[in-house]
Amino acid sequence: VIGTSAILIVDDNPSIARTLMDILDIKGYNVYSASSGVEALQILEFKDVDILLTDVRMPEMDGVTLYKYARKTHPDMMTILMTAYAEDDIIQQGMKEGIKNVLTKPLDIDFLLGLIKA
Amino acid sequence: MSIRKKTLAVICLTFLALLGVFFFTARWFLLQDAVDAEQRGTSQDVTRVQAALDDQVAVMDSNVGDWAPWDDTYEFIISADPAYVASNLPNETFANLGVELMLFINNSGQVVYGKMVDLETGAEIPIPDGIYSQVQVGSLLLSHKDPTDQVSGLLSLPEGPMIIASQPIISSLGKGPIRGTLIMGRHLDATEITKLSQRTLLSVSAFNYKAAGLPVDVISAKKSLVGGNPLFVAPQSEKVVSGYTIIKDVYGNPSVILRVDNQRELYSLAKIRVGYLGLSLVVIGVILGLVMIVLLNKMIVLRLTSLTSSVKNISKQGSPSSRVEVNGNDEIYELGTGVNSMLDSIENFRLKERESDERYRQLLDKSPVGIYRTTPDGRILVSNPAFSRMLGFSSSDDLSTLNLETSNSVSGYNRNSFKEQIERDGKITGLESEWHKRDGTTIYIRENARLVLDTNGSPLYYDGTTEDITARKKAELALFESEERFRSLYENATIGMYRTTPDGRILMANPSLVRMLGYHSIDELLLRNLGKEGYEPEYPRHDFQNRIEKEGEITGLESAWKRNDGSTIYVRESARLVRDESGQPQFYEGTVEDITEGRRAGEALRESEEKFRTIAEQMTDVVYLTDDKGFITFVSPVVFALFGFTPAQMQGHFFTDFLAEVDIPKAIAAFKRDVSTGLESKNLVLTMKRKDGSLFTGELNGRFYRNKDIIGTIGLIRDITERVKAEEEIRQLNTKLEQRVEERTRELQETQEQLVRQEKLAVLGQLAGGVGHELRNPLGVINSAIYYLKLVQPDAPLKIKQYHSMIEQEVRNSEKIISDLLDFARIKSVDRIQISVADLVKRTLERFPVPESIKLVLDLPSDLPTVFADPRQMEQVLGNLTVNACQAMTSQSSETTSPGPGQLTISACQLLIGPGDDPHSLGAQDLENGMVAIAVTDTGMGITPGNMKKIFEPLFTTKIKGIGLGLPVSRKLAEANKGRIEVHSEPGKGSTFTLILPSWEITGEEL
Repeated sequence: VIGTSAILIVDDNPSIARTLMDILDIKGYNVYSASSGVEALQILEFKDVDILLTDVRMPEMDGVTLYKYARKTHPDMMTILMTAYAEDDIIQQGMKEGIKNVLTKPLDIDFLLGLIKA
Repeated sequence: MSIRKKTLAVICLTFLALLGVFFFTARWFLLQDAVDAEQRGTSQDVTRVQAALDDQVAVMDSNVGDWAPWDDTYEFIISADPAYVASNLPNETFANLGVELMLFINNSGQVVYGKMVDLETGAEIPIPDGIYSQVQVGSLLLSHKDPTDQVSGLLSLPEGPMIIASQPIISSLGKGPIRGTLIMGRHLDATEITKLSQRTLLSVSAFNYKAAGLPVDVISAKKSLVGGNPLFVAPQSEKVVSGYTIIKDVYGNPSVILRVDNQRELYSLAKIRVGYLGLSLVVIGVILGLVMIVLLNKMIVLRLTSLTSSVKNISKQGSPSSRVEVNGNDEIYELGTGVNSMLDSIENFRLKERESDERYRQLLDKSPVGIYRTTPDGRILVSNPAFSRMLGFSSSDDLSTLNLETSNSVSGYNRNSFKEQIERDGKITGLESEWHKRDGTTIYIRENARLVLDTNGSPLYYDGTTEDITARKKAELALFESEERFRSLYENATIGMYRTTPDGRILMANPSLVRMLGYHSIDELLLRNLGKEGYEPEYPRHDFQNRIEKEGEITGLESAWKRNDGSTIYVRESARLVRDESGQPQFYEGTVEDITEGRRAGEALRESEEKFRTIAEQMTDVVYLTDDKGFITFVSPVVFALFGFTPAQMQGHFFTDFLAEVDIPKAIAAFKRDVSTGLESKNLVLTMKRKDGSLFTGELNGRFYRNKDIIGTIGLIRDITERVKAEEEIRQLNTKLEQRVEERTRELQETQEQLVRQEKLAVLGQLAGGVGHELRNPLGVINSAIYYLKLVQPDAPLKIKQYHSMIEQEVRNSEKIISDLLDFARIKSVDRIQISVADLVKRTLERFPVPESIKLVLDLPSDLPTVFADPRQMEQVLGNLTVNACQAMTSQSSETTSPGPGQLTISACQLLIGPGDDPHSLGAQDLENGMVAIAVTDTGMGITPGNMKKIFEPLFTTKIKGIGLGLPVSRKLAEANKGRIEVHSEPGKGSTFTLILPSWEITGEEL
């Protein structure tokens, strides 16, 4: 890929999305943010996104469902789940669907950056 | 009447009766047969005459049958042609035909032609008027409906019966129509009857049924025949028998009585034969009678006569040795021999009787006892020589002239009273009296006599025996004199004297005894029976009797007697048994001393003693008495059951001899106190000693007592071993019960606490879960924000960088708290796998690094089995333990919380069964399970016993930092992995936390 990867951050908490967006922006990534799954899907319709960083529990649509829709149009997109509930059933479901990366809030940002870099 | 006459009479009468019966029976049978045969014959004859008469009627009918169905007659009945009459009906025709009357009557009943001819004279005679009344239209003779109809029979007419026949007049061919009726007839008169007799060879007579003046026999026959018999036969006389029958006319009415007479030849013959039979029977009877008389005479009567005369002769001669003559071999012979054997018996009996008489005679003559028989008025009938000698006569003197009643010289006693007594009682026994001999000297006679009564019950004889007792009597007199000397002593003695029979009848008693027993006179007392009523019931006389009869005498026996007024007299009695010559007890002689006064005093004492003794003996408690020094003077017999000593063995001993050593001082103190102060020892419990040395617990109640000059202690001892044992058991039971209650209460409390704790945990878990999650988002924002700040201000002043780090650090701490909270709130699903302990420890130490200030020692054997557990959770647990251990070694006193010097040891082993192999003080169940133990040991400050209980409780912590969830979570995790955590701690030295997990080899086999 020429240039930097495009990352889509989805979280219903705007502060989380905002701080992460600022950090990743500084790190040179092309960052988009959405406050819900529906909004995220709208963004995905128009933008090329390499990495999807999404909260799990959100109103209207949870992160795993979002992933299921998103991978239809972006099958190569890397998905990272962020969650406050490590033992969530939805996460179990997501891992079954093929999501390999699950990070517990508060995020270990160094670890996250390493993950994205790879 | 002699046998001969009787026998003859019987035989004659029997024969007469038999012959008579035989004769008359035979006669009756024979004559009856003759009469029956006669009757049968006569009946047959009557039938024959009847048949002959029927023949006559049939001939008349056939005559009419020749004339009536004839064309000429058929014509003539209409034409009345005289030529027919002239040619066919002259008088000769009537004679030839044997017909007296002919009547030709047409259908209208009109007689066309009629003629009657007398057959003897051959002249025509007028037709009797009686006929016409029979031939009216519609009468039986004219009513022919059919050409074959006919009527024939007798017709009763006033002048006599007539044989008549009537047939319809038809053509010769036998065809109608009927033009009239032809009637022919002839009178049944004497001529006809004679002809009938000649034809049947019988004597026949006929009588008009309605005629008057019939013979007597015919009238009686008529009665019988009218009664329904067709025939009647009756003998007319000895010679003649007659049979009768009634002949009916054409109308069925009786018309003529026929009689047939027969000679009674059979009957006469039978009578003659019967006569012969009687004659022959008489002859037979006479012959048989004669024969029997001869035989009877010869065989029985003559022999009986001879036997009788023999017996008469014998009885006349009176010679028992004679015998009757016997011969033959029949009943009379047996009678003879029977008489002879009877004579034998009589002779034998007489011989014996004579012998017996001789013996008695000798007895009588030789007897030393006088024997007599007198009449009631005293005349001597029989006497023996001894009697004679007794009275001074010679043995051979005849005493029959002597009279005992009148001769004073013989009997010296009052014979009147003798007579009175013997006639009242029937006998006199042992009468002793003074008699006078013939020479006037006096003798004493003992006499027994008996009254003999005649059949009317009036006195007949006195039979008696006499015995000369003169010598004895004299001796008795001498004795009496000597006795007399003692009498005054006997009469006047102050002690009672008596003589009784063994059965208690009083024979003698002296005045003193009479007074003693409260009687007025000796006679009154003599009516008493000492054996039956003299003794008080508690002094059974048979004891006295047994003793006296066994020992011969009794001395000083004290007993209670009954006085006349019923009161009791106590006596001291000495008695002696007097035996008769044969050694049998004859009577008891004794002396009696009144000891009532002394006795009463003794009695009262004895009674009170008895009461005391009874109490002492019957009580199950031991009653004891000691003197004032402590020596035992009395113990009740029950002591044997308690101590094994008899009362005798204990008496005289000091009381401490029966106590256990330990209690002797206590007992002596109590005894001294009681004696000196007069106090009581109440419920004094002492250990007592038995004869065999064994000990038991006894309870003593004693006190000092003083009774006149006797002083000492009295008391009761009771064996309370059982009671003490029971009380001890109750106490133990109570203690056990209390312990149990305590245990239960504790268990309940623990359960309660556990429930509360669990409740607490549940609530805490929910709260922690909710709060923890919610806090993670703000923490995330803070975390990202500080990261951003650090990122954008790499050259910020030091102070700011320090603050950045502080924020960062606290975010991390917060996150840790939240993780703990969440871990605690919900055990994550357990995902057990096979994993080696070494790996587990290694990963743990990576996650939770040990500060460098602490020395880490690992002791993990290489042959340790793998465990079966969730590695992440176990890392968490081991990590908690490690962190705790490090913190325990941190110096708490200083403000800085840097871990202090110390050593952390992580060791592991498999818990196997092995002797003495118990490094971790673990329960036996772990040894059996073969589990693996991982111990984390520190050298820190240790855990106080008070805290030990609480360390696994949530929210308990001794750390300045920390919320107290580490150990509770660790325990939960261990338990979720089928393991547990053990703690061993010594305050000040350090603690060991051991995680025990199932090994793969055990659990894997189960999977």
